[in-house]
Amino acid sequence: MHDLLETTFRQRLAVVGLLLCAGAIAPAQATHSDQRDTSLQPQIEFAGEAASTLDLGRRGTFGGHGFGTGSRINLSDSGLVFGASQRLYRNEIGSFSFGGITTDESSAGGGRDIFMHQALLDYQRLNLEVFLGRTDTPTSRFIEFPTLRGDDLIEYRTVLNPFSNGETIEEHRYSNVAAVEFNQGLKYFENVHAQHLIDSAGGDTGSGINSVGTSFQFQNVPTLEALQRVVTYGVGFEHRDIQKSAGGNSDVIYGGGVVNLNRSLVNRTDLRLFAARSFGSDVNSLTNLTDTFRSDATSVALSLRNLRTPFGQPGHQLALTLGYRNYEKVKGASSYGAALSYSQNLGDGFDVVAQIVHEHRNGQLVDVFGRKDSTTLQLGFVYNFGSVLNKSVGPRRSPVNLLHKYIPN
Amino acid sequence: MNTDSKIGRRQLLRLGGLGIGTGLLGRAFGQHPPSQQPLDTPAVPWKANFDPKGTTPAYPPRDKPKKGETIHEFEIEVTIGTHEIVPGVETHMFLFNNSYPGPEIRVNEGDWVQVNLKNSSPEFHTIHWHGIALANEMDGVPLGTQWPVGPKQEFRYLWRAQPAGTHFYHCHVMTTLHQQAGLVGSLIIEPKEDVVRKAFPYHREYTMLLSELDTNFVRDMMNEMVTMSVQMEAMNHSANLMREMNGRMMGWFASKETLVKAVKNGYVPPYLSARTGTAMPITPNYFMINGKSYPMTEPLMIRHGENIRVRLIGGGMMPHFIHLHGHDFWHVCQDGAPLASPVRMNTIAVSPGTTSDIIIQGTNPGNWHFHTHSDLATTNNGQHPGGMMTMLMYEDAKEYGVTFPEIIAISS
Repeated sequence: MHDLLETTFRQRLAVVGLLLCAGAIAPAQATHSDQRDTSLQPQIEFAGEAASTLDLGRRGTFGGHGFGTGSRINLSDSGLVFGASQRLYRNEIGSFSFGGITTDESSAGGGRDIFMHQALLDYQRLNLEVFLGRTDTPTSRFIEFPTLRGDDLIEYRTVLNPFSNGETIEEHRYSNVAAVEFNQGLKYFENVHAQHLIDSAGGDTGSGINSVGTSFQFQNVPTLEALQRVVTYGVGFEHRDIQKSAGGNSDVIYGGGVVNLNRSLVNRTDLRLFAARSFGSDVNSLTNLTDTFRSDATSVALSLRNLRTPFGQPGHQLALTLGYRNYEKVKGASSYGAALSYSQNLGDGFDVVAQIVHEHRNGQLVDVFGRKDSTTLQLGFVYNFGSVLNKSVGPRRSPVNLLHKYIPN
Repeated sequence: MNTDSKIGRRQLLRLGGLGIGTGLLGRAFGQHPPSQQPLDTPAVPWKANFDPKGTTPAYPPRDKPKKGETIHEFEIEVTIGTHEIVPGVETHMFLFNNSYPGPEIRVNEGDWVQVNLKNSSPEFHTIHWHGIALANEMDGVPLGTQWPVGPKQEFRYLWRAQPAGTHFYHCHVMTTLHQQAGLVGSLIIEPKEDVVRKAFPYHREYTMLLSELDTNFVRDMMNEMVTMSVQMEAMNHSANLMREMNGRMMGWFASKETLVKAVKNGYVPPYLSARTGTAMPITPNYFMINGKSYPMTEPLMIRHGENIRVRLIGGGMMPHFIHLHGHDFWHVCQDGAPLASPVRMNTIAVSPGTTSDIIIQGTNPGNWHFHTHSDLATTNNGQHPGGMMTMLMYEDAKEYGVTFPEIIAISS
């Protein structure tokens, strides 16, 4: 669940760097730059989020048939990122981030309990950002939803990875990315990127790059989001290069936005929408999870959220997220999901949370998932935090920079 | 120091020569011969004496201007702008009349001063007249003596210039940020009888406003303040949003009792560790004289046999220990008032909120360092040399065989 004070985990991780790796990278640095000043102290940042819940469902919900298959203690989606950033000579910012995130219990059983989700070098100047490495896929960072975890109802809220075997859900959210992002006034962003989507199922064409795309997005001034009618909107296109034998290439168009229905600093209600349509794949039957990621589909996610944050008082948030996905070439295959999420702020960044998630599947999806309906109740805590040492690099999209002259300090 | 004061047009019209920057006074001296009075003999005996009633205002502070009395009118506008401390270091600041420090205000003792404060920034502001004996309502303390002046609002200050001497003015809203972020300027009240000038005849004088800046603190806090201010501005335009604007949003309470009651009822004040964690210390990284760090500070010019007056203003948050090489000088005034007797020294402590006037006598031709001896403050972002350093330079040094050229040095 996102922090009630609107600082999302991802936003906090958007900072960058790793002093701990300095020893490891020092030889390379020395090779490439004789000018390195050892007295220069980069800005060191670290951020983390821990989500721990007790999940309860009907027997078999979490796999298997025995006692205990209807409950679990879920530590997934907890992560830590270290980063370093510094000003460069010509008013640019250079940075690095490195971090890992816990996977869900089924993946952990396979020895994949930590997923490296950030290992990124980033270059920024006023009108341009270039980043290269492991990070959020450009599609998953498009619109964030107020569910407890970032992968709840994921099939409706982002563009799925057609190369994933479905064992590690993080493969839909993170990839190896090379991106260039232009902006106008730090409000309008055009992103052109290439990705190596993690290929756990097989099916790419063998090159490092198996997906290319572009997107346009508008983002309003940070910190004024509660008072603006339109917070963000955008559209994008993605092309995935898939072997003919695996269904062939697949394209996706997607778009979404967030609008405030009730603009308020203390009682805000917003509506967010994400829709995606994939086409071009020849997959017309669903026999495993990978098929469900590849086959042409239309998905829509919509979320209504009320955030109450009275001044000087702990806040709370209630959100209803709905999703629908229909497979265009598989007759009768569709699913919908709903999540009712609540969080109560106990302290800065520390929430007690509750969520009930229901999913219903039709047609061949029932065989793939082994059940038609599933309902899960989750109770727990979420804690996110961040800290900055050697502070010397301010946020590029600060209110003062956006509302007055841009100064890279 | 050569302050390019950008004061309102009306001020120029009414004040004539008094309101202009001291730098002009300094430069003007080059056209006049230095005093022929031997420097080791006061022109007249030092006339300042201990007077237990001396702190009583000469004019009743709550008086109002009478018909025929002149009112000097100044226009001061607050904006958000940028300021360059040294080449390559530019930062957002609050500015009085687009200048840091703000324009020097200089009037005669007993004159009426009207300052029309116009707030063209998104934040609240006031002006506190530091050291002035005025009517309580004119003191510029937000929620103490007046409501803070909001965005697009104006406020008129009116007070009588007293006591004479070196003073300064600054914004008193969230002083930790606003004064550091630029809202400070010098305020000089010329006495009817200047015992300093009589004892140490001088033509040139310099004002040195000492201050520090934590660029990271100012950046972060200005962003927070601007955010809140812009939010409030947006709320002002919506009846629905305006209902949410209350004292709690601003951290305002009608009394101690209301605060205590609010905390008992669940209000979480911002100073609790639950909201702040460890308090983040303010760590200045730039140290300035009149808004500039070395090597961009302006030198003090002098000639052999000349007296110059230097007004030191502690306009920041740190004490500084100002040392002059090659000379002793006379400490003649403190917080505007002449000392009972001048004190001879070569290093003077200037604490935050204080002013010290010194007389430097041109006794040793050369180019001499004049700087704080708080070594941290002689750096620019940790690099020495920099910060609060300048030079005392003899215009006629060559005539005395001193030929060493002025070198501008920065850390390599």
